[in-house]
Amino acid sequence: MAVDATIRRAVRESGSLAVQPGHLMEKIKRGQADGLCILALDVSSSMRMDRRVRLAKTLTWQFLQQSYEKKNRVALICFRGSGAEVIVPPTRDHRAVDEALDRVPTGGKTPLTAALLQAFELAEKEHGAAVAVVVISDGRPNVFHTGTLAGDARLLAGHAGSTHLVCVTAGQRSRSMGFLEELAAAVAGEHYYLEDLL
Amino acid sequence: MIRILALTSMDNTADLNDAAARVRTGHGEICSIKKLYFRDFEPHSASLDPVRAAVASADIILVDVRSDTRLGRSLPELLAGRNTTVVVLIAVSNEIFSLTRMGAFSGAMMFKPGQDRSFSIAQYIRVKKFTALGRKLARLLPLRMLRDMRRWMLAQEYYAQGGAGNLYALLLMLLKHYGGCGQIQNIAKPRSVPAWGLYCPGRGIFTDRASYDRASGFDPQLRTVALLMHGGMHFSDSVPVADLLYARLKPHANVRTIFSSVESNMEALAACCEGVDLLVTMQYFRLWGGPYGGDAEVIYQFLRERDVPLLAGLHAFETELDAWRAGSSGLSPIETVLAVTLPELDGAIEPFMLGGLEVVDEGTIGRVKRQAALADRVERFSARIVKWLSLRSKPAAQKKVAVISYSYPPGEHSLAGAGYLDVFASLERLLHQLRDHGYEVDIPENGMKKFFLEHGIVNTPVYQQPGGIRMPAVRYEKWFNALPEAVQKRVIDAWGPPPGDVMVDGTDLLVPGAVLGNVFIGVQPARGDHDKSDSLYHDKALVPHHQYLAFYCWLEQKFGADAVVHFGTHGTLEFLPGKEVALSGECFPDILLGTLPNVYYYWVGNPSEATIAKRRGYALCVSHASPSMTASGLYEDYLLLEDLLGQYEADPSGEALREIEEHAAGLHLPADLDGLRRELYRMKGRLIPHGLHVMDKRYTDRELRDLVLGALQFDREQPSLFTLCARHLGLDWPEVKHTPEGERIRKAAAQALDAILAGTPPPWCDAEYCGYIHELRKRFDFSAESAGLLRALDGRYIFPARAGDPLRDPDAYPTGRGMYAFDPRLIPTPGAQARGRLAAGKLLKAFREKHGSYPATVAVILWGFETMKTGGDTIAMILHLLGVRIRHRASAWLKDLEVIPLSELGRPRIDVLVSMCGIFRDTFGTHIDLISRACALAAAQHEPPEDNYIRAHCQSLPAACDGDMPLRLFGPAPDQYATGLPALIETGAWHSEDELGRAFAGAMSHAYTGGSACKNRQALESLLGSVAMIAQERDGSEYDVTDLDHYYEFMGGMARAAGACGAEGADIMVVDQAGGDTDVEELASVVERATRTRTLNPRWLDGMLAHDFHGAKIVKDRVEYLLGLAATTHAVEPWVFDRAAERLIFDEQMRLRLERNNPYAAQRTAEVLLESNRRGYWQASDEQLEKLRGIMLAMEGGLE
Repeated sequence: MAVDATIRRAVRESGSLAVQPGHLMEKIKRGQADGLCILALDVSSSMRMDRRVRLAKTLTWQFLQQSYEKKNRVALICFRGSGAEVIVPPTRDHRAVDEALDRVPTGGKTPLTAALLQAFELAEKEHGAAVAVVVISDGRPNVFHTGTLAGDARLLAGHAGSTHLVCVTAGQRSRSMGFLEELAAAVAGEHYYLEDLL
Repeated sequence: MIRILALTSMDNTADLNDAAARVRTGHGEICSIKKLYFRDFEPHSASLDPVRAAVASADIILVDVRSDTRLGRSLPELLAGRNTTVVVLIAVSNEIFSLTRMGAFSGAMMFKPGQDRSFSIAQYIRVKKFTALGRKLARLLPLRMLRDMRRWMLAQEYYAQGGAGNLYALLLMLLKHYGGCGQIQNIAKPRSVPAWGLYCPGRGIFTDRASYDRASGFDPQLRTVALLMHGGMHFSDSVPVADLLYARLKPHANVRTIFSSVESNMEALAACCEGVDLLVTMQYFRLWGGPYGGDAEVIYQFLRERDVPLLAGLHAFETELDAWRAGSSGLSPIETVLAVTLPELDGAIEPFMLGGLEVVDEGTIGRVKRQAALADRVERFSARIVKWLSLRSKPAAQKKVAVISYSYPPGEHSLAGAGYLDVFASLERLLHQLRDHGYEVDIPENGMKKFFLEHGIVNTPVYQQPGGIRMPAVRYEKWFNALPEAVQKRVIDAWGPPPGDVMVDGTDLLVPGAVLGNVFIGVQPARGDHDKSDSLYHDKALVPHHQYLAFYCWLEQKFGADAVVHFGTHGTLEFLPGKEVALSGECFPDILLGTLPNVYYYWVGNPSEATIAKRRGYALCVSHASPSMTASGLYEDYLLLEDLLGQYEADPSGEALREIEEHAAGLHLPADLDGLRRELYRMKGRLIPHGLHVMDKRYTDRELRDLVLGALQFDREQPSLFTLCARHLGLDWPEVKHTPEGERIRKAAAQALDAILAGTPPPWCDAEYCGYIHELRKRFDFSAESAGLLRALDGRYIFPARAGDPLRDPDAYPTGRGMYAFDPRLIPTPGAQARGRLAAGKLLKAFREKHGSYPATVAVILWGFETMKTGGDTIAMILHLLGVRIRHRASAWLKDLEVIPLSELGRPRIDVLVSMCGIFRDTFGTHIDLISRACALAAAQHEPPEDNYIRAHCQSLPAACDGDMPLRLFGPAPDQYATGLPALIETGAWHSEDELGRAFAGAMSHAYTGGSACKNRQALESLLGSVAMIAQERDGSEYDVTDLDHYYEFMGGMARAAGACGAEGADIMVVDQAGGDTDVEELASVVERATRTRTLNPRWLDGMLAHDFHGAKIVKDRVEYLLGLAATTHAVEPWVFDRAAERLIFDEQMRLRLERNNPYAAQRTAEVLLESNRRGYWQASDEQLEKLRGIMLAMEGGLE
């Protein structure tokens, strides 16, 4: 029972602290409020093309804003070169992510698998809280764990668990390699093209 | 009161106004003078009624018609049947001279209309000739008539000498004898000024150089500039600019202001140019010969001896300055020809606007206009002149030169691209030459490719760290804030406040380049449309962004360049927004160049765009050669197929035939043997470029032979070698060209050529022909390109030559010289008229064979590119489709049109929709008028609709007409050049083909007629629906339809736009003139052949890939163009992509070659193939796709 809310209602409706059955308020668990949004941002060299990184950041800020309004926690993972790095661990301090985004360096290969595995690992630690992973990348991974694209796709699908995966392909729809599209389909996630979201 | 009407093309009316005022002061209100300006009546929509009314009420009419104007053409009709006194003072045709009527004298007695040849020697300024003619006639004429004729000649002299005093006397003379004012006495004789001399502002006129030099305070320490201004009647016109220019230059140089009538120019120049370092001509016409042209050799000899730059200072004698300021054309088409095109033939550079007409007030004669100088322009021009002078005086070791390459589209893959030039190898050559010439230059040790990539000299690099030189934004802002406010606003509106976000790092703008001693090497900033691709925003009038501006600002102000060298064909500076010609201080090319002399190393085969560079980019072009050309030959399965055919011919069997058919089907070749043979022969003989040109590279003997053989395809004064050989074998070359006999002739011709070059010609080849061939070989076997560039940087005269396709026009060689374009007045040439007629006939025949009818409307793509190189084939083709031809005249200044009677035409008049590029508009303004007149003429014929489609459409599609004028000529907006489609294709920022059609229609919807241009999309779209055929000429062997984005941009854009307007599936035809005869073919076959002989041909690939970095970039471009063609024309069969993927990507050896050559381009090639699949133009199998994805990811991994 939500004690505070019940009392407030009793006071409001009857003018006294005498609680009547009709005043009882139940606490409802709002999943979103306790949710976590993990943003995984591709900052490899190819994301410099057509200023994709900038657009991806713009989108990240939009997600951030949304999370803030829903009082979600956020985390930021950036990936480039040989691996992925948790730049900001789960936090309610949205400004920290905001500031970190400004300083993220770009360039290097695209270790998409590593980034997603790390995101799923973070998600697992949440023990059942609603977690969404939003990955923004041009979908051209080139650092593989299994040695092949298809192998990595299977690996990732196996690790996704109950995490909700949202894939955003940066760059032109017509030039997409189709990797993120297939991954999203495999884990019943969502897929979007950046050009449709901005 | 006598009413005098001045129908004169002399628009500076200040003198006339003065003269009228003097008449009034001295003699009272005895006359009124009305002046009509030709320009007001040039638009077809302007009514001629005011002229009719003025003519009807006039007592005396003065006529002066100097160019092909609407009013001039209408004069005979306007003046017909009147008994008014008509004094023709200057005219371009006998017809107009014959209108003279003074008392008993009639011009018709001296001048027979139509016989212009008899008059071509009599220039308007050559009064003496008239006098001689008069003397002859005097013996034959009755006294009264003779008296009137003498008065006519006197009138000419008054007019020719010019000035208010002479005009006053002229008016008095006319009033006394033809206005009944017998009381007038004491009329002054014509007061003549010397034919030439020196004019010292504030000091007066001098006839000898020494006293002028004393008067103007000659300083032997300073360099000397000579300014050539008009004498005679245009002297006073030229004074305001001359005065100001003199004053601005005087602190920096000695200035000799020479005035001269055009027929005295050479005498004047010879007497006054001793010790001169630079010559500025401010006259119309070429230096020698005036309107009718003189011996060019005289000029060249003079300029060669002086060896100084020749600059062109522009006066608008017709355009009002207010109109110039507000408009985008700069000058009128005829002014452009007179003041820009003709001086260009002499080698004049930097056509720079200095002055024009200012409307002063309402005088006694109506609007009075006078010449005024533009202070800011004169200031800038003087600064540029001073820079040229310093190039002459600075020692090489102190000179700073900025060499600018390109990186467009942005990203590593297209770095340092230029049309058929190996930029890296050529740059290296240039640096060595500069060093040998005494310049301070450090030459990078590891080659140019490494130098660019390792220093990050790339626009918006993806994989490399951006490098270059940093320019603090605050420094740039200071410069930016000093620009005209309107300019600042345009830049900020498009790109935000400085420094914006293109190539900005922190608070610095990046200047992509490095300084090597006194030489800067860098890449021109990107245009910006790719950087905006995220917003799907493709503004064709996009102004340059901050970093683009900052780049040139840095070169001039921080680096302190003495000159820039733009390296290769071509950059984007000269296409930035601004006027067509005669730029203002608000035009971006002018802003960017500032005071920097611009030397441009340019491909000799592109005179049209070179012309834009010269006019809008103030470029001094120094030409470079084309790549070597060779026959495509056959390869692999095609070779096998040829063998099989040979075997079958020797021993026909069913099995051999089946094998042939099987192979042919596998190669997507025709199944019938004749068709198959024909196609194989055509492939085999097709000329293809072999590799790229490298600065100063001489062709090998083998290449020379191939080039000469290529040039010998064309009939000139001497017949083509193939024609000769065929004749020798008793055959007709065009007929057997693509048959086994043709093959035999080809071999025989090659052998004959070898024999001739070896000095043992075959007996059927005479000495003259052998001499011709040796001459050709000599032309090709010479190159002084770096020498030309060095001369240009020393501020010396660059000898001009007509640029063009070396095979068609070998005079374009040797290279290393200046470039000028075909004299537009001669276009279309008789040869072009014959070819255009033939092309029109073949197009219609092909259509009839396929559809059984004539196309209602043929959409014709019209570029300056082929017009300049062929002499106007396309224009002639358009005229012939309409059933209109040019009536031949001896004078270059007039082009009269006449309709070809239907009985002679033997078919209906076909309607046309002409889509022209901006370069055509800028360089052939006079021909826009010609084409619109041809359309109007055809539409005006009272013929049944089934015989006259353009007339029929005028009724059924009224939206495509403006009153009586059918709107048939469409182009980009006045300050734009093309359609913007390539940027869409390159960035992939499009979703449906309709978008491409809309982009084309939106960009190309300005309707042009003589004298006007306005956006009229409705007119375009209503016509587009009637298009049944789209046609474009391919003029030379360098570029096939798969080698240039502009082909899909225009032909394809048109096809998409027509499709969107209900004309889906119009035939797309290519008129191929590259091989010396007119082949008309469907685009799809041309694409297939081009792909087989080039993009997939090992010989072509070997040639290209021999050039590090550039080779794979070129391959990448071709694949991208295939995608563009597929999306817009639907003329690319899926197998073409399939083959391209197999050849370029799946063939591991080739893929590795591409990757080693240019990994960025190799990766991009794969990406384009994938895109082609995603967009449905290539049905790749799942295995192919999987393989392609794997390869792409690996390549990308390698890059990252």
